[in-house]
Amino acid sequence: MNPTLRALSGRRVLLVEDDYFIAVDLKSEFEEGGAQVLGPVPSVSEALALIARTADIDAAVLDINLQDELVYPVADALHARGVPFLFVTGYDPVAVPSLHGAVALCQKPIDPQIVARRLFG
Amino acid sequence: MGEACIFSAGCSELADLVRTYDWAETPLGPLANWPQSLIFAVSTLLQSPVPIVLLWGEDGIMIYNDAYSGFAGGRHPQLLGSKVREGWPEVADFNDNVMRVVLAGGTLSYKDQELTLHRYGRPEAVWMNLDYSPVFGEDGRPAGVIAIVVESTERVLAERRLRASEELFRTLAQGIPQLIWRAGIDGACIWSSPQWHAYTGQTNATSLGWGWLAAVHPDDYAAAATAWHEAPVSGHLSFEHRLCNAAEQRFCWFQTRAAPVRDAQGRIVEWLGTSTDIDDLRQLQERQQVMVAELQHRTRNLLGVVRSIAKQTMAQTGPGETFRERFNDRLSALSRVQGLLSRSDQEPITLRALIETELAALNAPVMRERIRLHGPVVRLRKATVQTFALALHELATNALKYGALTTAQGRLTVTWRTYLADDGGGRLLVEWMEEGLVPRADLPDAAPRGGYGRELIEHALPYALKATTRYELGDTALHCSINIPLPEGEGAGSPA
Repeated sequence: MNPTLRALSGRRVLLVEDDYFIAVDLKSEFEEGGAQVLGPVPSVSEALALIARTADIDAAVLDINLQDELVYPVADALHARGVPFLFVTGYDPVAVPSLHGAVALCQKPIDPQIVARRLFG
Repeated sequence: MGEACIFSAGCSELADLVRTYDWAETPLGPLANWPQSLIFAVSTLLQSPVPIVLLWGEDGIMIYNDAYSGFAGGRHPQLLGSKVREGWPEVADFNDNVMRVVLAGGTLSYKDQELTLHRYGRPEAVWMNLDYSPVFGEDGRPAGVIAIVVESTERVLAERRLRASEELFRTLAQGIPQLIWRAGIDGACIWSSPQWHAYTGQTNATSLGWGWLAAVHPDDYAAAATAWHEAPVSGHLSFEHRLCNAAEQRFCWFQTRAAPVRDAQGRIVEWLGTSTDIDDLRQLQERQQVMVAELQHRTRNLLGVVRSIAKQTMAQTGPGETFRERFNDRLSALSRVQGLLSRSDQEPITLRALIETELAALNAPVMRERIRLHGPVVRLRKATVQTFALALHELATNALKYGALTTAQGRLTVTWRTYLADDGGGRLLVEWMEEGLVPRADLPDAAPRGGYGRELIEHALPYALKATTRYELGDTALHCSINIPLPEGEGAGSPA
C-alpha cells in the first residue's frame, strides 16, 4: 500500500457528500486505505445526527454544497469538538468565502492520497 | 492754414489722392474753393483709422480714408469723387434713403446690417455696422453725410458657426441615451442634460453643486469620492455606481466617464462627462458568472461520478469486452442527461422526458405496443435528475436484456402519480412493472437480473433523493416502486 494512504489506517473518518456515486467511491477509497468510514451521509441533518451519536471521530471530509444547503453547520459542530476536517468543492476555490476552520480546501474530484496527507500527514 | 498742408503728401494714400484729384470736374469744384466745413470734415476723416466716408452735397460725392478703401475693395480708387448712388449701384436705394434722412438733419444707425455688394465684380453678402450723421455747412444746414462703415461679416459668420456648433452639441447632448453633465474641477455640477433630469427626477437647479449626489446610491459615495480625488492627477474620470431611476423608484448601475476641459496653459478648468446605463450588462455578467461557476461545479462532480462508475463497473465485470460495453453504455446515459440538464433552463426536465430518453436510447420505441407510460407532468429538480436518470437507465437496460422487452409476450408499464403525504409534503410515486418475463431458469446464461440497477434503486435513490424504494423480482414479473419527496411548491396535482 502507498505510504501516504497508510496514514488512514484505523482512522475513523466521517464523509459528507450528497452525490451517491462520489460518496460510494470515496468510501471504498478510504476503506482500501484502512480507514473506518462514518457515513457517508448526504445532508446536514444526517451528518449532525451521526456526529451526535458517535464518540470517536478522527477526521471528516465535507462536500461544501449539498443538494439544497451548505455544509457549514457540520463544520461548526466538528470544530466545536476539535475534529480536523477538510472541505471538498466542485466550485472554483475563489468562490468559497472562507475556510471556516477547515485544514484545507480540495477541488473535486479529490485524490485520497492528498486528503490523507492534509488530514494526517 | 493752407489746404496743401492739410492733405499733405505722405500722410496717407487717400490724402495724396484727394489732393491730386481733379475736383473741378465735380459739383464740389476745385479744392481751393472748398468751404471750411468740407475741408475740416475731410481732414478729420483722412486721419481716422476707422473706415469713414463723406457723402457731400445732394449727390453724395464720396471722399473716404485709407481704412474705407480697404472696405471698398475693387471699387477703389474709382469710387473717390463719384456719386454715392452711382458708386454703389447695387445698394442705391439704401443709400438714397440715407441721403434724404441725414441731409434733413437726421441720423441713422445700423447694427450688423446685411447688404449684397459687388466689390469684386460678383455679389457677396456682407454685414456692416453703419452710422450716419450730418455734417453742417457754412450756412448751418446739413451739407453732407459722414458715414462710419465697419464691416462685421467675419464676426457675424463666426457667431453663426458658433451657434450652429452649439445647436449641434445641444442636439447631440440631448439626443444620445447617455446622461451628460459638466462639472467644476472638484466634481461640483455646473450643468446637467435633460436626460439626467428625466432619469433622476432632478431639475438643473437641484443637480447643481453637490445636488447630483442625491441621486447616487449612498454605498457608492466612496467610489465617487475616490474617482474625483484621482481625476486631476490621471486626467480622466471613470467609475461605476448606482443611480436612482425616479420613474421606477429603483437603483440601476451606471458607468460614469468624463474628460477634462483645459485652458491654454493646459490646466483643467472643468469636466465634461457622461453617465451610461450599464444595468442590463451587469446583470448579464452576473448571470454569466453564476453559469460558469455552476458549469464548473457540474463538470467536476461529473468527473467524480465517472470515476466512481468506472470503478464499480470494473468490480462488476472485470477487465475485458463486457467492461467496455457496460461502461460505454453508462457514459452514454450520463451524456444524455447532461444534454437534458444543459437545456433545462429553456425546457424543464419532466419525468416522462427522462424515461422516454432512456427508452429511445435503447431503440425501445419500436416496441411501443409493449410499453405503456402514464402519469402527470412532473418536473424534476436538476439536482436529482442525474441519479434518477442513471437508475432508469439500468432498469431500461435490464428490461431490454433480460426483462419484459426480450420477448413478444413481455409488457413494460411505467405509471406515476403525485400526492400529498400525511406530513403535508408532496410525493412522487413511480411504479415500474415488467410482466411476461422469461422464467429465470429458462434464461440461457442465468444472467444476474438486477445487479447494478438494483443497487441504484435500493441504495443510490434513497441516498441522494431521500427515496423509499422497493425492488421485487418474481419468476415472471418485476415490480419496482420509487417514492420520492417533492420539493415544496412542486406538490401533487399537476394535470396529466
